[in-house]
Amino acid sequence: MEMDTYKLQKGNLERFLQKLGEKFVVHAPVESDGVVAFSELMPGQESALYFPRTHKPPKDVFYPQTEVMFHYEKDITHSAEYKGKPIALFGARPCDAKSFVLLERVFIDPKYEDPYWAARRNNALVFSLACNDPLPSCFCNWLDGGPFSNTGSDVLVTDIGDAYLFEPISENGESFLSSVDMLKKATKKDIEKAQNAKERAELSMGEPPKLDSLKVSLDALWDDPLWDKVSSKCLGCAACTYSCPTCYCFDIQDESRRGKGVRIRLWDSCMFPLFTKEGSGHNPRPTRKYRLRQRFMHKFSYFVEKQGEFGCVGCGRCVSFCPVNIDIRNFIIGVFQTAQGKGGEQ
Amino acid sequence: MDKLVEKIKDIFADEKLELLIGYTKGTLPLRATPILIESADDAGKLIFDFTCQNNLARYLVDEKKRGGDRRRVGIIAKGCDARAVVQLVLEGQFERENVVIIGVPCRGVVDPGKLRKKLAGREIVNFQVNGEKITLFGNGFELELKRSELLSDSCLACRYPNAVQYNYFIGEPAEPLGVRDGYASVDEFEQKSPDERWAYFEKEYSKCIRCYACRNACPMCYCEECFVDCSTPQWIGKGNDLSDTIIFHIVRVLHTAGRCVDCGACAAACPLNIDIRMLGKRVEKEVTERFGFTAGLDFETQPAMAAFNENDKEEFIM
Amino acid sequence: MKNAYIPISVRVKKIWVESDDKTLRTFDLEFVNEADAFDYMPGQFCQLSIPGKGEAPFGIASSPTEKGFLRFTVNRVRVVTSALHHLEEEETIGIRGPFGNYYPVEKFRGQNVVIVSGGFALTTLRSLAVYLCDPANRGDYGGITLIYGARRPGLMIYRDELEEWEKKDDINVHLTIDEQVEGWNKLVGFVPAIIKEIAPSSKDSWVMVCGPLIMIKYTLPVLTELGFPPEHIYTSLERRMKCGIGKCGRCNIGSKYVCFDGPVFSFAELEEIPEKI
Repeated sequence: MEMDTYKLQKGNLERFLQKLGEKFVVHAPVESDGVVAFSELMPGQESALYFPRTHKPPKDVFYPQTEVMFHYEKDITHSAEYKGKPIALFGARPCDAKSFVLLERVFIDPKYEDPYWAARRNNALVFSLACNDPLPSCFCNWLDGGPFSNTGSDVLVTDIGDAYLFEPISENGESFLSSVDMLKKATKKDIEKAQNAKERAELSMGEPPKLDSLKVSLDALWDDPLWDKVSSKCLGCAACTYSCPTCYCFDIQDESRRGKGVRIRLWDSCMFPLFTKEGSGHNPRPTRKYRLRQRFMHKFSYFVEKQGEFGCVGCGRCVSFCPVNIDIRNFIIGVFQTAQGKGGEQ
Repeated sequence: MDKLVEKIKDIFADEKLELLIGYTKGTLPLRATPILIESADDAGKLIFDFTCQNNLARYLVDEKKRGGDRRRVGIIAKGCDARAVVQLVLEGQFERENVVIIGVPCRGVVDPGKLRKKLAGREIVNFQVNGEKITLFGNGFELELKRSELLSDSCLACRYPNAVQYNYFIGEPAEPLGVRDGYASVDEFEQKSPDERWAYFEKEYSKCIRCYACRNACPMCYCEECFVDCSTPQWIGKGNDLSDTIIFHIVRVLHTAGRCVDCGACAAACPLNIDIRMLGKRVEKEVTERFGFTAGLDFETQPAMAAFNENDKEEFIM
Repeated sequence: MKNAYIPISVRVKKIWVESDDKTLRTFDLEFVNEADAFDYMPGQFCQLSIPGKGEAPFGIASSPTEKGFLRFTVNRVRVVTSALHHLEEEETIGIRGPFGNYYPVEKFRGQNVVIVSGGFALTTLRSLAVYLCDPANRGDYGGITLIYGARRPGLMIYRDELEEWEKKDDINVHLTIDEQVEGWNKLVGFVPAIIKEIAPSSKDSWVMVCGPLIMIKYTLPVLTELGFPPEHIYTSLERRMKCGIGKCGRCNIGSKYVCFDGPVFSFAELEEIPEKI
């Protein structure tokens, strides 16, 4: 069903967000001391929508870094899923919105449903904000994404200068938008402006390399020295993992005092040496090479096998934040070059 | 740069190096990246300029952990990096004979975090240096800054821009930048009330996501098992709870007391621009004033925290 | 859907020390609420949960044909296992499960089964052996052979039970130790060497092998020489685990999660995975 695009004058944004806040808890990018991350938008607080790519992805809106799973006292446990108002995420970028689609495949599968993820994600509305000015380190278009992609969005918001266009993508998005009086219908001219912005943004990103044969190439390079080379300068920190919208590995820890306590789920990283260290002392991934190989193989091979798509949305945060400038884009190109150099059966 | 490459080739041969740790051009403007080369043939990849922020001494410790500490390793060292190497030798991490310190003159390095902050989310595609000014070019914008606005705070307070101990020194020694006195930021901060100081630390450390980039970038953090990872006993929680996080930073600073060379690698590594240095700098000031010790200046003086002198002040005990 | 992260209460029915160096203890657990009791198959595992200390995965040593209890054998190494070792009867802990896949009992219906094990890896294989030998199931399978080795008799688990089984005629039990000790009148030799001696026929036969990695390393070539194809050789793998349900990303070998796609894998499957076990 064709859904009309709506338009909101920029001056009305605060009122719109207030309206959104009646039914939802609104999370938006907020700036604090130069760092922009998603947090609950307080009344009167301004959202930092101008910021091209938030430092922290909105991953922690649905999947907090530290989350209590249950409280316990002796034998009694009380599960502590989120029970608040449904969440509205406003101002996620298309790459971030797509990440939720990928994460959903992990947290919700036919056999096991993660209730903590589900409690926050279900009934949530995602308003993604299209990128008029993709950054040089952005490479979403390598991975079937794009600055105006609407995968994972309920509403795609476009900044056309003096106004925002709201394009409903899902029924839930349409359902909310149609209930808001202050929205007008977008004119043909408005839609043209948005289309021009889209073309300009996509053009600015250049031609992406084709990644169709990446998994096959990678699988063939398991023992290749390229892993030693890339991992030689890796620090083994989690700057990449924690700033990544699609990394989701977690740890479970108990914290207790005198028979009472909590079991919490917290982010973990396969880059840490203790990640796979067993009680006996044996570690199947003893060096950084093994761990870096695990991370990249997971993103570009294993995730494809299990979830059908690359486990990367090309947001570019790891490229920007890696303290030693390990560039995943270069790594991908390097894989193709190495594979070709080996006789190019790909 | 050619001088650097030529000299390195000579050193490779003369010292029979098996590994050289240096810098090469990064993939982002104003970034260099570490490179580990095993043959003089790769020397052409080496660079040294104001983009070479990382402390390469970090890789010397790794080298040891990989079981290769018998290898002859060369390391390109700024003043702070060279001091880190000396400190590591004093701590018994490897033999003096196995490391060849190649000093290079440093006039300060760019802190990628500061650059990100100045750009407020945008990214650059190119830059141009005009003496003390740098012009940054992005898609649709231009920004002119003073060099000192982009340099690491550590560089602005640096007293030892050139390696004090070295096997070779390539180039003319650099003068300290002298932009700020070493402890000016700490002294200013100490004027604040305890509440104000606590508010500042609370604000800064609330941002921390416990990625440990600061710890892992530091050459002095080489424990087999860091205290944050110990489970028997579990010293602190592993999530991003504020009190656990602050304890992590405080204890790390205490563990590096008297060993930190203020290279700024920790602050530069932090993806969220947290002021990692403030606590460490205060502790460094304490060590300098109390014990008259500065890390990494020579191979004879015992590190302050590893030695005891009868004249050490003990007023805090009585 | 049930919340798979919440442990169910179980009570310690019986505990006994299994090994002479006291590093191994066996627990029989019963559900506090009968309604919580679950069905399972040999090869599956559970997360034993001690709130405040943590959780660890253990293969279920009892067979689903044994009603009223779940049996686990625990090797004491660190925090959680030490806490388990300190438990007393009637104390309650938590359990989550059953997780993972199970030995492919449907696949070897009508055929012979050779069970090979070493050390304290016998747990889930005990479950399998009891399951296969249960009167309700025994008729569905051909010859059942068990070859089990330990460093010395004091480190064998379920020793009394195994010696009972030696007397039965529905299972051929071969027990071996690494080096001769006084009073031991059974086989002596490493498991791979004993398999070579016994030379079980590979015709219409399947092997389930669990043991220390080094034992598996030397056993595989012997089995291959005897003619067992990799599709007929199965093992149960271990990795550090947390969630047990394929979400936390920790226990993978290549693209397979040991907790979800395993822990039981055939060597044909493992050959496809570049990451080594």
